[in-house]
Amino acid sequence: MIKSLGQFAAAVSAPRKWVLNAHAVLGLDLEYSVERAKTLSISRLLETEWSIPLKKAFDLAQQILLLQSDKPAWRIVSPDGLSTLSIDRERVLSDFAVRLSFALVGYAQRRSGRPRKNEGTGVAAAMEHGVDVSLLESSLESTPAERLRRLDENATFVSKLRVVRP
Amino acid sequence: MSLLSMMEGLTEASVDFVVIGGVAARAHGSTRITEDLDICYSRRPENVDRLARLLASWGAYPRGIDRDLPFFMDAQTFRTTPIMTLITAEGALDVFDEVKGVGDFESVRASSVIVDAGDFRFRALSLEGLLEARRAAGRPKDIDQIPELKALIELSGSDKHEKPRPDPTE
Repeated sequence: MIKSLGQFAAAVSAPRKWVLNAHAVLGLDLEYSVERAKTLSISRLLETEWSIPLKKAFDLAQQILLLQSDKPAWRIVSPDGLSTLSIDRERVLSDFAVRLSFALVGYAQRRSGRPRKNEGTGVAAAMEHGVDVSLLESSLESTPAERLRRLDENATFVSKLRVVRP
Repeated sequence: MSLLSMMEGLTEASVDFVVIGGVAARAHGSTRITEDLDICYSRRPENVDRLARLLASWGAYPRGIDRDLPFFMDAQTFRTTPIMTLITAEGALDVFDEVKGVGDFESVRASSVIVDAGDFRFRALSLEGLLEARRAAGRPKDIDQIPELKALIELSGSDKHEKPRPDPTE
């Protein structure tokens, strides 16, 4: 599912460098699994929000994930009994679901290198790039409502094709 | 279930939003096909409440992942994760609280035009705004669309084509 360090870091909600350092500190081989991303995501939350050292945070994250879903809140009381740390496990996992989805669906590496200084202008540059300008002109002959209706029909057609594909 | 019904649903629910991405480009004349609707929404609490309620009624869930994780569609989720890629009963919907290259919702709104979709009207990011957003996103698929957007800016400068119009109230 997760294919790159960038995607993995997006799911964890951490810079790529943090992910690499975390694996080194924890003595783990780099592994782009959802379970690893989930555990590191909670570890990072504990480390950044509560200043818990990473190794301890990773242990606590594993405990939190082992908690049954009918006990959504995870609590730990300090040895002197004066303070309690409470984590809303279901909320944390809900946020992770959103980040994992973005990492898998929306994340893409930026094109590397400097941007082209001269992108060219208008129709001539578009034709040079391979854009069929006659299609654009034809599209502009219709109203925005007609363009959107056609898009809607195309999108529905494509989604139906996907449904019947084995 | 369709892109148009999603936009109509958002409009009927009085959600303050601007359509960005492929659907906005299509409204301006792009010929590319997109299957998801991208919107930028106002972060005003009452607007987020309306949007969250609507998306909950559509059974929204993060797209592209197994349904084995809990998910809350409410205002608190919008506070902690303001960008979401969702699948709903109405179709795929991506929500953003800002657009790279354009700015926060107010900047996006200021750079939007009103599109008449026939049965309803909605706001869409202008061609110039889309161009800036594509440049800032910098992904291969964004860069690839820049020549088409620039051609559309040149072609739609001609009065013979019907185009979305700026909001006369602003």
